[in-house]
Amino acid sequence: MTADTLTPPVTTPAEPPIPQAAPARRNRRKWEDIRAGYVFLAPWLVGFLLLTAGPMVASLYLAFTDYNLFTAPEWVGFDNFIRLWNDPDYLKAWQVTGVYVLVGTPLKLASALGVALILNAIFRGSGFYRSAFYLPSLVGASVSIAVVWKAMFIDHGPVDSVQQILGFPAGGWVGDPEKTMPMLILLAMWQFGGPMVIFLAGLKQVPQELYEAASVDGAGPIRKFGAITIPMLSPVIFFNLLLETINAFQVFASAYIISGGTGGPARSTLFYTLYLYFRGFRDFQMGYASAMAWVLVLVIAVVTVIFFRSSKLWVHYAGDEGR
Amino acid sequence: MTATQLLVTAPGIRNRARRRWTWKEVVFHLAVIAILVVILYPVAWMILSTFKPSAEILGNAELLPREVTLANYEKALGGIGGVSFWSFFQNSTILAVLSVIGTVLSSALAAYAFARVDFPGRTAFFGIMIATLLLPFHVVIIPQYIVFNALGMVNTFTPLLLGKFLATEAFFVFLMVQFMRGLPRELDEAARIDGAGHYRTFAAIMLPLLKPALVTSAIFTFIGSWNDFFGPLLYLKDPDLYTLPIALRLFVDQSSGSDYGAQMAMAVLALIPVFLFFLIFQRYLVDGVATQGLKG
Amino acid sequence: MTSRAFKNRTHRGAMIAASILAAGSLAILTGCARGSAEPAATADPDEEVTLNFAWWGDASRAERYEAAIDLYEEKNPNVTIQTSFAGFGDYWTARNTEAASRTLPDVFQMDLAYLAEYGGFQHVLALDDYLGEAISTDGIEESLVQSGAVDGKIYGLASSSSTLANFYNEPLLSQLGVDVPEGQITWDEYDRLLADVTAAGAASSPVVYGSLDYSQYFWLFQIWLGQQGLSFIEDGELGFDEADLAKWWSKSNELQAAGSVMPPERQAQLEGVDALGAAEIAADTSWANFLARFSEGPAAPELTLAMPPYDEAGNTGMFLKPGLMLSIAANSEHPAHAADFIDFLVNAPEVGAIFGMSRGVPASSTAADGIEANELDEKILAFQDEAAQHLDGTAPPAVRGFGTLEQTFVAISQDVAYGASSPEEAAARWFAEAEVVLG
Repeated sequence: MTADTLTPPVTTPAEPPIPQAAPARRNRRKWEDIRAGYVFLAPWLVGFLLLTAGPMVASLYLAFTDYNLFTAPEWVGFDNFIRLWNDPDYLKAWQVTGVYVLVGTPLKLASALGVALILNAIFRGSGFYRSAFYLPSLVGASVSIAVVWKAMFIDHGPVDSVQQILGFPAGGWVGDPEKTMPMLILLAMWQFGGPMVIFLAGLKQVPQELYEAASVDGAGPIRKFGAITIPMLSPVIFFNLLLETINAFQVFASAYIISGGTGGPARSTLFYTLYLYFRGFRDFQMGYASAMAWVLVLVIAVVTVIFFRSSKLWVHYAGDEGR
Repeated sequence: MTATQLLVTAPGIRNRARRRWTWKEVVFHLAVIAILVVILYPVAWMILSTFKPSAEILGNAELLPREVTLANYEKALGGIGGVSFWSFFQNSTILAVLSVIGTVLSSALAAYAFARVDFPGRTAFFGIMIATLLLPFHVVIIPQYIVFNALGMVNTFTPLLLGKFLATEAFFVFLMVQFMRGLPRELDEAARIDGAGHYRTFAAIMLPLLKPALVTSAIFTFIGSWNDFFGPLLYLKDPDLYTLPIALRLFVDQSSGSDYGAQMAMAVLALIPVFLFFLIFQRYLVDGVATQGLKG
Repeated sequence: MTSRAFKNRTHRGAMIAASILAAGSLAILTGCARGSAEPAATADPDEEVTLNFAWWGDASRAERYEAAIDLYEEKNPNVTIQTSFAGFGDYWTARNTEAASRTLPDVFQMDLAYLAEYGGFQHVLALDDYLGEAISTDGIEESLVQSGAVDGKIYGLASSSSTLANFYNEPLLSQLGVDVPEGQITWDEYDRLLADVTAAGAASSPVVYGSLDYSQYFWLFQIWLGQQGLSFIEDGELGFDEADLAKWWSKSNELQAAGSVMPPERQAQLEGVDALGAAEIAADTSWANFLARFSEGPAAPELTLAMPPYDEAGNTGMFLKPGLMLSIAANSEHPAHAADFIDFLVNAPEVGAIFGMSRGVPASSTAADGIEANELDEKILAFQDEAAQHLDGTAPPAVRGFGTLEQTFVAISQDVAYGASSPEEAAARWFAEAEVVLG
């Protein structure tokens, strides 16, 4: 997929010079554009104003209040944010989430890319293989994954058996606070289906001629991978990396399901949004939870900007060739 | 062709598949199947466990049931509290199908505006759209609930669908924007010269070329809606409106006994439609791209 | 259509949308306290009424409630009841959201954990006006009725009560060569028993332990507090100090050092299965009415009920915990009908028959009369009768943040069990949390 990424502010490709036959025609086109733009955008605009903007503004307001869901919110200024700083559970939540983002996301993308490359090379029964490789992501989204995944990691389970064969000490991973994060990262990696599908679509868009030309020049497979596949795929890699990182920061469902809604054992699964949920819905501290939410927004926003800025260095926009 | 060459180059011509199997291909396929076996082991365990009595499932990870029973499926199909399994199934299906239609259409429309139409405010709106991805949903749930309640829409499917038809899922808008930017502008220009306005360009040129993105969005939306439980939990009060995820969670409750066997059986049953959906539509993911005239 | 007209149209559209969201935001921001419902009146038998009713529980409880509701609708053809149910955690997520928007169901199940919030903030009605009239309380013990009080008014009526009990798997104990305890057992004797069981059970497959780490049991802690002459809450504040809590949690280290209890790693792996029901432990402490559930576990153990440990006779710290309370939403438009429905659910013998002991021992003796007790039920009732002679403690009062206190207690006690926290550190953390929560 030759996609150029959007770095705000966007630079639209310059209009090819049109013979100035009639300025009126150009004006009319501009009004048509504006009108069409808003017509096409209308559903999104309505959705945003009606369903998203109000709640977003409200939650920002709540972040500066003490709100217990039962009585009117009470303004407390920055108290919530100050309290965050001194809250050991909050810092633990950052630690847990941070590890998951930094370690889990690259691993998940690596497995997704690996499988996409494999699938790209298969043509016999590709449909079957594609569906088979996608199956884990379907199962992983189900509530039952808790029982299933844990069963893999208990004493004498498959993982325990494998680790004994490899010479590691025996023992299940479930119930061991130090092994819970690796368990969850493996779960994330196991659900590579989503990014894999997108990688696959991207791989299919790489023009064959490039590989053929490289073959003629005598390039080997590794060289082709590094010089053709990766650069041509870089916009997709960027897209997946950005969105998986955002997802990893916000992970809730698997943490909730695997920990049974406790954040345990011993707070090893106390992910950020899980802690946020506890505070907001269980402890009636919705103001505090909103403050947590907006700190997260800030952090992710910073990360997103960094991603976009850095993309200029390593993302190759095929569409910009020759400029 | 070595295995690594197979890996890094895109397969081109279809008739390669009609040649006889080479040794290298056989080995490659065997290797892939070996990987699949490892990856799908948990899935196999899950399916086989639904045939075990509940007591056998927990605390032990044996693959094969010692005692085969259909009790779990009986319980799963028996419904909950007077509501039948098919009711849950039907509700989930209605929501999923409508979500797909709504999301795909509205996201494509919005994406076209962002990617192909120059109008004032576009950059700002795009930034806002990306920003909506950043906020965790828990803190907007209560204000949103209050809005929907004020509109009298609680206990209907509407709150769960309205957003889908209004492109509130920024992920898909962004995905389609990225795809569209990869399509050369010459196509738009050509259509314009032929006298087509934006609407025709969108419908006749863009949409067909967007098939991989549309199909990806459809698949992800279907799965997301099928497994969504927070929305249905909050907005669906009447058990007749309950969806499969809510029913699934009812089998396992710390305050009463838990029935993991029945839950897994229902989960397996719930997997089938979503797997079929993927099976049917997955070929459109890669179809239509390699064969479209991208070289202009 | 000129572009200017179009721009005006989008402007207007935006204004309308903005007003809707502004109205919505305003509602949230001011959280206007609406006026309370109409004063109590008796239920009009001719008025067509629809009541919303929500409960938490699993599929079997749903069936029972539906049966009870069918019965009520038969007797009261003018009333239709709309039901809603979910698992415990999900249930409260939904109720809390409804509370924020003042759209709670007319009647819904209430728990001690959240009674103070819902009652204290007036989201449920004070039932005092209905008690004794629309809702009969003749068959209910007064202390049980009072356990639903917040600031002197009753906001939830218990439909059942539970007592904590020790469970012993006597056949397993005999098999392991451990003496079966009789009558009163002191804390030291109990700990020794557990150590003996683990020592004897180490050779079994699966390994049998004495019990689970009971320092994680919030309600056993309550009883222990009572025995020390302390109370959980005294005048809205904690009735004990950090040292007491640290002392309780240091039991965890003692028990694990002595090898009397199942290690937390194994306990985590067994999640979803009752260790007692799987016969991986020979004793446990839990609610007496869970007898049925444990007995139906994978190993089908034969269990006996006994009093939890206490050191001095006459100082057991035992109390009745109110269970499955029922409340009326303050935003209900039919409080009188709601009250009548609650009276039915709590007192009717037919409902007692439908539920049996599944929700605990019925609070009302009239409901209890309707039960056809099976063998297990008889055991529970017998135990309850015996325990009734030793009730010298009181259930902790509902206080804001109770739910949080309970849940953080369990979470932090896990840290202690895993050795991630020393008892003193853990106690300090819990007290820090309590300070924030109790305000």
